[in-house]
Amino acid sequence: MGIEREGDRPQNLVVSTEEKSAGIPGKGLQIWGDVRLSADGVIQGTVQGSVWGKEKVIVSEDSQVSGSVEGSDVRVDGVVQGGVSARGRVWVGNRAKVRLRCAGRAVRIEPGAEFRGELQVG
Amino acid sequence: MPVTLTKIEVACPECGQAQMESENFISTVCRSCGHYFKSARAARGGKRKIKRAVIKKRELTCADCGSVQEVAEEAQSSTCLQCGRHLELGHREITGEHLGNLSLEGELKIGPRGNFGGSRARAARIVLQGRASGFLEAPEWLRVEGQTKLRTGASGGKLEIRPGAALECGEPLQFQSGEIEGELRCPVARFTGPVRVGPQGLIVAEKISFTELTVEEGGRVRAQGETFAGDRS
Repeated sequence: MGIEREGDRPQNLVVSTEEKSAGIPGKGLQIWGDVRLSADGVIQGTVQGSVWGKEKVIVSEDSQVSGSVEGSDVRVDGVVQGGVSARGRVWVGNRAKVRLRCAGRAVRIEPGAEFRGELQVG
Repeated sequence: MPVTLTKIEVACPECGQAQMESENFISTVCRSCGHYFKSARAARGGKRKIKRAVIKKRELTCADCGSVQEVAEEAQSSTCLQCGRHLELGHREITGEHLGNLSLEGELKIGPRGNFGGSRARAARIVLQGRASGFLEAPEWLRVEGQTKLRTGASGGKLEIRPGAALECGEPLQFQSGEIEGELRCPVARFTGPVRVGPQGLIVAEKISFTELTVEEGGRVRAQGETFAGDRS
């Protein structure tokens, strides 16, 4: 897995990997800026920005994303303030909080989850 | 042909005097001491028991005061023992224009050409195939089976919209759960439980709330959504 900074802006993180999945970043770690994932990715920590994934993206429990999360399929078990959109399925777990938007071809919001925002499914 | 009565000897329980009685005797008086006594069979409770048909009963909740009483399963109407309200227990089908309110404990069917023009209809179960101007209340379920219009709102247990069916509603809906296989268009839809939108389902609403939402692939939703915070707040 390779992590590089985009241009002169140290805030933006680009993660490219040959592995099937990547865990970004570790627990307690904070990223100030957007994250781009070229493989399946698991967010474990705080991202002060948005997350864009080419493949599946998982926002794990106790993780926070202040911007939006986008991926082919997205699962949220943490907090996403800027909305979630997927080209496929969106899964919002029972302890998750999602604000602003939830968009995908299929959506599942589990009992106990908190959601408020625009629903755009199909 | 003369009938011969068989006699048996019985002893008085008081003085012991024996006397002859019919073998089927139920009670007699001692011819010696005048004591009245019953035969052993009668004393055991040998009376022929009348078998009564068992009446199956069911619980009935008054739509007004909520008190529960038992009524025969086959009863068509009853009166609430608590508040005196007349309770119609049967089913009803509206095939044309119906003016006036309705309150049934059974099933109400508003047929494809039916139009409920009253201000309120209450039935345990409602099948909607036509139109309704008044508010519909279905504590068990409201099933939409045709291209239907509701000028006002509706409430109840479960809202079911069958594949190919559509419900256009002018005022808010409030149900415990939803099974949307057809189309639902309304300003506000409030579900205090789970909502499932099937592969052919569509919800277009200004606002929708729920505790749990499943939109299957092929299903569509366009709304401002919110999880129901009834238990949290």
